[in-house]
Amino acid sequence: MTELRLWLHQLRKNPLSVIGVTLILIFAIIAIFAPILAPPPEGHIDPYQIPRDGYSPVPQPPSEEHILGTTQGQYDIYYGVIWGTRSAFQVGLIVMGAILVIGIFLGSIAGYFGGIVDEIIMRVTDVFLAFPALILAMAIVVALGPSLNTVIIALIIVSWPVYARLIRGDILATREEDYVEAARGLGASNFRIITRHVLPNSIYSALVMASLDIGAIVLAAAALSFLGLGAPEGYADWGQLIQFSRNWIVGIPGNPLAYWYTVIIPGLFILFFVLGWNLLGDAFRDILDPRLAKR
Amino acid sequence: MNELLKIRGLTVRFYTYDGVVRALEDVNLDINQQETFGLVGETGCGKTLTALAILRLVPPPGKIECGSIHFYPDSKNGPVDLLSLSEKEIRAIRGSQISTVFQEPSAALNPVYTIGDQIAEAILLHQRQELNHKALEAARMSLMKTGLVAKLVKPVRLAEKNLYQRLVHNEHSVWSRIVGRIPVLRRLLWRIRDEAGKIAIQMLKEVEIPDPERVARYYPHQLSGGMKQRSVIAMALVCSTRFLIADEPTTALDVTIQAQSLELIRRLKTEFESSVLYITHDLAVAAEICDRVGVMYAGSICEIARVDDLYANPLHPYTKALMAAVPKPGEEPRAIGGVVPDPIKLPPGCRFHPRCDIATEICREQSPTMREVTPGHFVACHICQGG
Repeated sequence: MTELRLWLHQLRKNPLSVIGVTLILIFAIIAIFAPILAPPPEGHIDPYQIPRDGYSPVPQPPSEEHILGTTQGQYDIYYGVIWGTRSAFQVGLIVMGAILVIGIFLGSIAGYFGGIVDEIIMRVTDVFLAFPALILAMAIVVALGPSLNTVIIALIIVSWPVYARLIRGDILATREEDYVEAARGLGASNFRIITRHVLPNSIYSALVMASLDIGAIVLAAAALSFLGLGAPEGYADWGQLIQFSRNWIVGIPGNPLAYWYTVIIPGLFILFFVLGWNLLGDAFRDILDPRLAKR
Repeated sequence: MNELLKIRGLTVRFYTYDGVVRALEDVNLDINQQETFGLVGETGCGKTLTALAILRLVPPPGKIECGSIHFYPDSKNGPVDLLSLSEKEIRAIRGSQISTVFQEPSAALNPVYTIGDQIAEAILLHQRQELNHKALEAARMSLMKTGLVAKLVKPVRLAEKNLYQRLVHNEHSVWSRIVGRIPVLRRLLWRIRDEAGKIAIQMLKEVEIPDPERVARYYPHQLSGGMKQRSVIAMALVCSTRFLIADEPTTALDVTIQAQSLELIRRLKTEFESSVLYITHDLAVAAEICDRVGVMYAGSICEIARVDDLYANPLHPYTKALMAAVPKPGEEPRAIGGVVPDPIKLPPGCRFHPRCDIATEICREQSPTMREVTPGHFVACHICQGG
């Protein structure tokens, strides 16, 4: 309980992290209450499929029926961004969770045991890091067939090596600490030393980077969708909504902002989502470091 | 007196790119029960490495080449050779039978756990069965409670009691492994941690830390150097260790705290009936606390004697030089001429001969063996005689 109060205190000291937490909380509420905020029309089978109102290729401005307007193909933008929040969380959290698990597992094995194991794991990461991440992700998506799941898989494959390296480096430094030697002298097993003594002291930079990176991952997923390599057409996904607006960004002659709503609204959602995670990353750094705490 | 530890012919080498570092060469050492044995010498002479070798913690690329370390865990059973135990067996000995206090107390404590948690860890690692019994007892006690709330939570308490009963019955059953390993289920075993915490607080009281209940909840950075050192000592002794290795435990402390720590170690040693291997470079501290002292030079022991004997009548030229080098008021300290030899290119014969005033031909050719010159006083030197 006192810990919690301390966390809140740490948070309050940094107004930017309060903004970050608030943004992410708002997005979380949107995601959780998506069925209430944007109820799927009756007879709708897949709630992630954006309902469409006709087949006209020209976007329609906000009206009473579609409060944020419709995009190309008459997909409802409001419905799309609300349910797209869920997709964004799914992509960000699943990808980050998987990366952290893989990165921590391989990174700690490589860093703690060293030697030939380290050499093998690190050379594998070298191979992955040698490719430009987005290009490799595109190649994987194309090879596996575009869908949201392949986007997730592709992002996991291209992003884990960074984390494995980061964690390995921190573990290399931590395993030389005296308290690790002391734990060994106390009769702790390797597993216990890694999980209880080495990892808790070397994981902070990875956690902070992870929360910063969730935004970047959602951005990368949106980029893939924008390039037509993401979710199937009509799936609620911010990248997809921006892709729909590709032809309408410049508006019409004499009125460049004629179709502003098709690009600004999903764009703002992405912007605030990424911003929220970035600010939250800073907040995490303040909260998680026990050496900074209680001062 | 009964023996506790018998080191014979211990040789440790480091295989580095520059060549083979002969870090320890044919070290022979006996430590008796309830004795404090001091190991003194210059920096880098192999004192700490000897300690690490006893625990089989020599860091790579170091290797224990040969020798034996016989340890007598209790008076009934025979000795075990620490060097031939399996990794699992030696782990059971580390921290319970033999434990260590390291030089830098602030580095030896993990910054992310409270003091209480860290002391409790040693108990959790080695005294699981005792803790299981205690937890079962506590669960039974809480079952006996009467009242409305107690009635409501009775099924939970019953399940809890059964769980602990299982653990007591079979410590290594599949069930206990599942519960013990999975993070969320591990919470079920909170009574065990609770009991370990109580022992930890008891131990903090033992090492004379004021207000132990509060200090147990502190993180290492909130404590002073002396308090940290006491906590480290508490951690080492909490499993009623038979043999404590203290590796320069007072070096990082100021003189008043140093005196307190020495007093504490002395008192606890008697209380727990354990032996101490006290490693230090401070001859005064060694004289203060030790029963017997071994002097080390460049990876081998050159003189072992009872403490009063050694200080009154040092025999080995290195011991004499070391004592002369201690600063005394009104006198210029005399440094030992020459430098410590490179452990890769050790001089042939006696390792000390290039710096020795009385070295002769034989010292340059043959390495000396340990001789008992007077009862209990061993020296490895060709020249010096007893008496």
